[in-house]
Amino acid sequence: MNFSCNNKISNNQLSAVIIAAFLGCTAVSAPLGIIETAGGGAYISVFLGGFAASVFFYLLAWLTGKTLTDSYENTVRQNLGKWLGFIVLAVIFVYVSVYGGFQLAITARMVHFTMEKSVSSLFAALLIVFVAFYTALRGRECVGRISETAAVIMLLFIVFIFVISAPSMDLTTLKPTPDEWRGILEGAVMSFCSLSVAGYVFIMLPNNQSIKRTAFSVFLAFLVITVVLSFGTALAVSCFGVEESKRKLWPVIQMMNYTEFPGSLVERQEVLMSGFYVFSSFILTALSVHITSEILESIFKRINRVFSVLTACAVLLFFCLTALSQGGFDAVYGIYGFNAAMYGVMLLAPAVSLIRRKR
Amino acid sequence: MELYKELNKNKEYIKNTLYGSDDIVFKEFENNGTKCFLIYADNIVRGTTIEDGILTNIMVRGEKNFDAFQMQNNLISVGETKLVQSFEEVLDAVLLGDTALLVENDNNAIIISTKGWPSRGIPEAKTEIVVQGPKDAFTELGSMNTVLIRRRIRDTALKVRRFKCGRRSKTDIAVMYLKDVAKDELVENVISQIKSLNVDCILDSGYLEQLIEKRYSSPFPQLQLTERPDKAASAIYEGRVAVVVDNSPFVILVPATLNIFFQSAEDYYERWEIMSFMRILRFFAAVLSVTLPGLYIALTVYRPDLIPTSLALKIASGRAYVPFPAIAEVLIMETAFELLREAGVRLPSPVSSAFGIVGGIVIGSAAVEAGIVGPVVVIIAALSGICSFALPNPAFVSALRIVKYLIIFMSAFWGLFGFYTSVFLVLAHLSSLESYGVPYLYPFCGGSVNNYTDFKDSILRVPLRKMRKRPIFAKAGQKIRMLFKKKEEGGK
Amino acid sequence: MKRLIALITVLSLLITGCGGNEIEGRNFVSVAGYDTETNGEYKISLCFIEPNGKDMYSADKTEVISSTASVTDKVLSSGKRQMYFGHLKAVLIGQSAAENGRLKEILFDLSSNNDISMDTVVLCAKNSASAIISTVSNSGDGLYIWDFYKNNKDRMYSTQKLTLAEAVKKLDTQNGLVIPAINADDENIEITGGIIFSDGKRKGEFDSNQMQGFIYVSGEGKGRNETININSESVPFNIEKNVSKVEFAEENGVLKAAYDISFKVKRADGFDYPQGASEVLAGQIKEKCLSAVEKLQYLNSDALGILYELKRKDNALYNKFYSENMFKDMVINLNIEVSEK
Repeated sequence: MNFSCNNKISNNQLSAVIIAAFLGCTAVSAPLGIIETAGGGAYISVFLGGFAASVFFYLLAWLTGKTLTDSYENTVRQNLGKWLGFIVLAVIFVYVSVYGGFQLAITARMVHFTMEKSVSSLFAALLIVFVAFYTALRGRECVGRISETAAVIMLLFIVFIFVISAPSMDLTTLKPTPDEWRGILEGAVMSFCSLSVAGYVFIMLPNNQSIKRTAFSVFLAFLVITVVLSFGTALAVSCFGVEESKRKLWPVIQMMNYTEFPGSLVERQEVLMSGFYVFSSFILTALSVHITSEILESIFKRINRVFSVLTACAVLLFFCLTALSQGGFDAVYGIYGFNAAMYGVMLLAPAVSLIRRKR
Repeated sequence: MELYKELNKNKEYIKNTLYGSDDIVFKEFENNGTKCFLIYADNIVRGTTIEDGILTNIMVRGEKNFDAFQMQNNLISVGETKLVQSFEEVLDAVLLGDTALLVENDNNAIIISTKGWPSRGIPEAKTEIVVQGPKDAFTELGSMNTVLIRRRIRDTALKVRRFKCGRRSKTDIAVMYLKDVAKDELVENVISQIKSLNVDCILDSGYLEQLIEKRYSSPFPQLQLTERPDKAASAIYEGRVAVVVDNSPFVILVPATLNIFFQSAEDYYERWEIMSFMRILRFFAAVLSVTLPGLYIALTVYRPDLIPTSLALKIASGRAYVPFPAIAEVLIMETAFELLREAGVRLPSPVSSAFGIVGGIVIGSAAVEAGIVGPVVVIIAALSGICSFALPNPAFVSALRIVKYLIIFMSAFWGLFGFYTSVFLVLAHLSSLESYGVPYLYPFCGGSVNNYTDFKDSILRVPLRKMRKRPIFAKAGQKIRMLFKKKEEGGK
Repeated sequence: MKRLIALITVLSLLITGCGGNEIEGRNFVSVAGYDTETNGEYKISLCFIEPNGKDMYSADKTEVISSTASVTDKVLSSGKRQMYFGHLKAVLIGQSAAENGRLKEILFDLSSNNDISMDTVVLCAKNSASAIISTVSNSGDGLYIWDFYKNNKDRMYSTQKLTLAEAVKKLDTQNGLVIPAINADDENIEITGGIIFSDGKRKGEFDSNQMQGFIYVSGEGKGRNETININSESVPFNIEKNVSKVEFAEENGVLKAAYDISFKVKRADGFDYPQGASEVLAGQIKEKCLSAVEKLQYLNSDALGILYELKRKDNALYNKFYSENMFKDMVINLNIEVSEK
């Protein structure tokens, strides 16, 4: 019928996927390094970097959408030729697997440390991949729909937390001192990089709708993430202070502990609240698996769906285990450089196709 | 197989085929010397019709030697008759309660409609009870059910497509829809889906429902069963398709989304404020009935620090002498509750309410006294049970009951993480479901297709005047169902 | 194939399922006290509640453990029961631990432990923590301290509630800290006054008047009461509002901090507001505040966080005067204003 079974998602669902998948992981990992460099003005960094990334995404989505004729994978292969197309897809494949795997590792650790000590990180990762396998197997629409439901719940939750904890903000800590501006700009670059998940978004682009509207959905989604993140960072810094925030592994999540709900039914809300982060991680993992499996299917035609999803899961799990075995997460944060570099790769296909058209 | 010209041959063949069926009546008689042969099944025909409309007319008034065609037109005073030429049609008709009349030297048989099945009149609704609103319900008689719907939709666009399903049962199926509102592909899809079935019998609409569901392995019902004619009619008005199955007091409505299982007929008959409140309450109850036992295990066993101190201490001291782990405790109470529910269904109704109360109180308090379960678990089990009764659709409640156990086990294994994982799994499963082209979670996802108007009838039930558009099920050009003049609105 | 994979996955997931601890199998630690012994080991006293079916709960249990680590991550079990810190309500720093400079270690360890709530109250014992713990546990349920802060708003005039989160944040940003003091003899538990820390070491004590002064200077006086003698009758006042602002300036090469502390008060017993009460009140409050500030400066313990404030407001000034004894050498002026609400 008209809107199901076509392996396409609507513009709103695209926004929802982006918000649901990336709000959690960026909220957990991004502010940490940024607070370290930018200090009390970290929220300004987050906003500047995030806004820049949103604008960048708008342009890229518009450009890519303009050149789409078929699904993204097929367009790339048509435009870039067999081999170059293959390389670009392979790079995206590796990128998505690595990014998804590393984020999964971070989640798995968080589950082990803050949520459930008796669940080991390895096991948490396995369980999440299992769920992602189920979701990805059901296809793109399933990912889109569950994101749409989850994104609304997550945003409601977050707005609720913000509204409640805003009165307890200590605004004096938020005023940046003049010598911090350099750090703030550096932080903005970091935040730009950490939010640049270009490898993910374009594969999900629907190709039959108005390009501007789609690009705007992408822009809007990243803007929402940016605003939430910078507000969250500001809250975390003002509640904990800069030094303590640095020492916290997940400042935004732990900040929830600090908020006092009026007449709260549950103590230690942050553990319950971190459920939203786990949800986000489920969606990110499912999205990663889905994207990599689709790339596999477009490269090796006639591949069994179960087999391709399974392979995607295995690759993702491999990178996740690599990150877990490292102990620290310094290497994980190294991926943000890689993030920005992906812009280049993603630009290749639309650029070539535009050049060809002009001729 | 074609009928013979010779009556004897026909008689012999039919008697052989129906040999051993003692409920079939064969009657031979003459009309002015022309031999006739009458066949009908005892007790499912209306005897007076046969006597007054057929036998009297032919035996008394028959003056000439009529053949079958003439008899049909001149002698038989029954409204619905037709001529057939094959044995199969004759036998089918007889088994359905019609009467077949064969005439000497004629290879046509007259099928006379004499259906007069035993039926129990129009009953009151049993499972979907409302305080305010019509009380009538469907019966086992398929034709009566179509009448009940037709009475509510006096529109020429209401189409009834009849056919039979089941190789042996030959159950009458009627597919009802509004021609200009329901999507054509939906109607064709449903009909072809039912026609493609190659099964022995269709005993009930629940039987058919499971056979035409797309994802039969899911515990969640993807089609809606209702016993209320008003509900069926309103569904048809919305552009959905009703499938009436003979011998079943439940009508299938296609498609069905999760949202629909939270709607009760009453929602539209009473004021919108209270009904919006009830809707919210129902969604809340659904969440609670599924998650409460799992959450209890996850919190008490793995994260007691999340429970307020005094409550945690109460739970702990209540469980001090309980010999079982929390999971066993929960399972004991849940099983006891399920048993009570199952046993309550079998008991004669005057006893069952007393039994429910006695069983609940005795088992609950005795189990706590005996130290088998803690007092909090009794509350948890009872609360989750009560919540499940707050939902209007029994099939959906059954699905939730199954899902509840998944959550209980995963929470018991992996604590709060298991709880979140299981909740996500359920959500993922729900979002992968579709019911005849409509996402199961509609309008909570994909709502943009219909400009989010369907939210007006989901968590809230906005005033009827605001629900001017038909839901997603209707054809694209048929979205408006209410029109008000501007003046009337302004005059308020 | 599909089913086999699913089956294997599910089975392998199930096998790795891990058990938690039943809730009744845990001893709920309500108060933990830290002392140090002569060999440098911690002596940790725990007051815990053991759930049993008869009473709601009984709390006459204490346990003393010697450990090299401050946090009890290692298995702390008496018999088969686990000591559970998820409902820890108060931490007591004993005199010995405080004097040995273990404060930071203890608090940071506690805050990094995920079981422990950041709302845990931090208190400092005037003598040994273990003695207080045994008194607390004998006095009824072990939740005395928790109840005190929850239910006794009127008895809070000379103490404040310092949560673990606040304590840790303050330890990060300023060199000094005042932790409310707790004292107990055989019968009574008394939460009043404060212990002054500087650089993580115990340096001195506030008596209850000085503690009140400290609370006023910090601007946290709301809800407390103050009694004065006026017209030869003793009149109680409720403090409805307490705002404290600080401005910095350089005068003659000396760093000056000027506090503007304003109060809105209301007579507590409902009679008319006496004439001239504001002045008397202001004088009494100023005395207390001055005494507190002087003591802090004498001990060089910046528990008010003035230096952090200065750094935020005027970094140049901060850098100019930066030295070890910056807080000690600065001139602090207090301006108290009291008005009727």
